[in-house]
Amino acid sequence: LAPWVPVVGLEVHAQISSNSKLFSGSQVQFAAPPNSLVSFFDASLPGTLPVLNRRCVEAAVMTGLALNCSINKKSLFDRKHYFYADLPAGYQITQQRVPIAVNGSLSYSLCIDNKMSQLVTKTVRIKQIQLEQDSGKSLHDDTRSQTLVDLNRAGVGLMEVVMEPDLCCGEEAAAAVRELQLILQTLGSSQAVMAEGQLRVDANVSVHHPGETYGVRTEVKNINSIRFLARAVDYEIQRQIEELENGGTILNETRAFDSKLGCTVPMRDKEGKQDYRFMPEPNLPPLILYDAKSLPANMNHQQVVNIDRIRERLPDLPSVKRAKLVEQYGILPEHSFTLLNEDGLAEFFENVVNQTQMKPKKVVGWILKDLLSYLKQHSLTVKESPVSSLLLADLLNLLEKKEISSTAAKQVLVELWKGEGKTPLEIVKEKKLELIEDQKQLEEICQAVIDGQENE
Amino acid sequence: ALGSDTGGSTRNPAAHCGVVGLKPTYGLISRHGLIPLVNSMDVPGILTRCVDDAAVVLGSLAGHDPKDSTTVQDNFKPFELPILTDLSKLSVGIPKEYHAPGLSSEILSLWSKAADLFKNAGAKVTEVSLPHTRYSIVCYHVLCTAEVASNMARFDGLEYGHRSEVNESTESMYAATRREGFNDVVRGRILSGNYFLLKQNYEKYFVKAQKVRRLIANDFLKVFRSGVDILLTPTTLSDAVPYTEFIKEDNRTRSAQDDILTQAANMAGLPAINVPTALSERGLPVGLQFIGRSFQEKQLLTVAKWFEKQVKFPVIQLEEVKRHDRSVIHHQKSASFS
Repeated sequence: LAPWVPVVGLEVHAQISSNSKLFSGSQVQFAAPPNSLVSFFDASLPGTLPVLNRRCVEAAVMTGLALNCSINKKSLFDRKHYFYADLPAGYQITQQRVPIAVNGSLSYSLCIDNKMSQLVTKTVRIKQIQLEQDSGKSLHDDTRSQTLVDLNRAGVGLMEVVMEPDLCCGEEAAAAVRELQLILQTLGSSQAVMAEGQLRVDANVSVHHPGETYGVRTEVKNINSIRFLARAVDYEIQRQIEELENGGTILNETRAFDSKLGCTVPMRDKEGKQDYRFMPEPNLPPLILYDAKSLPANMNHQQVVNIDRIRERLPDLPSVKRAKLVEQYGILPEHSFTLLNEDGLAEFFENVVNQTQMKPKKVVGWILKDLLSYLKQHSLTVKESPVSSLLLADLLNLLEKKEISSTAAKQVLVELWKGEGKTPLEIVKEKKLELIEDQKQLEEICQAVIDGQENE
Repeated sequence: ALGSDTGGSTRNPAAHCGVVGLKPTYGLISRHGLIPLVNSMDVPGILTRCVDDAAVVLGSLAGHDPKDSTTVQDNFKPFELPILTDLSKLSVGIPKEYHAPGLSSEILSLWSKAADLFKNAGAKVTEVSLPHTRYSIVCYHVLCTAEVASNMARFDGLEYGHRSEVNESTESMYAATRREGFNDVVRGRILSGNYFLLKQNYEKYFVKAQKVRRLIANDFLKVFRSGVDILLTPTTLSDAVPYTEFIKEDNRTRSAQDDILTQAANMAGLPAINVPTALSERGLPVGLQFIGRSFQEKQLLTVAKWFEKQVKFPVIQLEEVKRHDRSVIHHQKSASFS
């Protein structure tokens, strides 16, 4: 059987972290009472006009710069028309002709053979980033045959990050999205929490034989977590391969991922190809961005977005932070990945290192094995840890000073998890876990044990 | 009164009713609150009994509005209109293409007399050409219907307005609501507009029309750059057509006829004003139009005011009407007593 080459392209929608919506002043907030955050513009009342939110533009520029894109100094807004209950105006304002950023790249790492021992760096090209409006939410109530519409989300700013189809499997897709998520969270341009709908991923999947043209692709939607993304992509690749090997054909359709069944199913609502009748948005002039060179001398800098200023203020991206951790502390690259993967873990690690004489290379083992596994077992975040960095540092100091053995240290840690407020030293004394170095004392204990044996 | 002007909807009725109708430069007055027809051409229109009043109303409406991103940022200063005495530095252009087919001989003669008025007062009056005028009506139809199709997409009965009883599905509710709520003129425009916006038609129609629009705007620019300050044209082809006459043609034909002399100013975003000029033989008002340079409303209105003073249009005096009404009511009261 000839080999198959899977091709995966992702479209990621990230909700912009801002106080108000992209084109109106209503608030952005998760889980507010239905239709409580809706301005006249969001409800598409005639006579209302869009006014661009500066913070959303800055978020998109930040993200574009972090993804190595060219920022278009002039970008345009368009209307994309279709009818749906959650789209009050009958069109979405987006950037189809000239988006705000183009031609970037996203580097991510993958471990080969499922062991965190061999990391490989891969890159996926970013085609473009565009600003657009989010739609409202519609909930179908089949029992009462009605649709309930909540417009709180209608008009919230989105950055759509379109990737070139450079990925080949679920694992790559998951790793790329995870890295994008970390970057967005580091920038603060999006909180990117998938569970709250702040990061949504659609996957375009197709397969073909090497050397032949690309196969028909399907679009998979409704993926709610990174884990499900990997599963959905892999399932779809398999499904297409099996279909084609059995002589069938792939339809250019949209499918939803059913997380319970672990498979993709055709979506009912999408019928045929939609013509979105794109038209320039007449109420918004072209978006002009400046840099240090093009900025007019007497322009009020409150009125303009300066790309260079934004670039100067970019924080260290995850890849830079990891490299710094490796360089500063001598830990392995795969360790730096895990440290950055958990919210707050890297800070915890650094706090412990700063409060102990134990070498960072040894500290990291305690963090990644003992601390992290306990947190995972009990579904706790680093912030919720009953063992603070100070407590752990104290414990590791005792170990470093050889006052206790490593086995004893683990026992102390078990006690510390209980969160009873005792210090490591108190627990050591309580449980008599001190290391005995005195030769004479050791002989006495051994002798006592031997004597005890003889008596039986 | 306030109106809106997308293709002539303020100037045209003003001409037929004998009042001043001002279409300001696009971007001078905020459109926030104006229900849109064609976002790239709509402007709020001003209807007054005299040109001075139009300047006053303009003074209180014009200027940047942060809620309308298409208003210009420049500072606007309200102005009073000076009385023009020396017209020697004024250059008036007469665009020959505005001698349109169907222009009534009455209006043609009034237009000619008006030109002479300026000439005799010392102004430079020249014939000019706006060569793309004959394409503007078709171009306007393409762009207008496309934007209408887009702007009407929000009327689905879901958030506000009429909602049909039909509710088997969202789609059927939408379709029935829009069929019931829009008359055939609007439905016709929506269907045309959607046709022009289809992917396979977009370049051929919408983009082409945008290019022609640019040519039309450039026609005006060239003329103004050649030294002409203001253009003088008719506003309508004739005085108001009686209802029984009017309904003999369909809406699309009538719109094309009514808008032909006014909509180029909307395409180019220029300020224009109808000044009531005389009564027709039927005793109905007829007006003439002045078109000015972008954001030069002061000059436009100054010239219009001078012209208004010259023609002395028989403005209806409200005091006489009130007196007449009062005496009628008085008689009615007496009637009920006896």
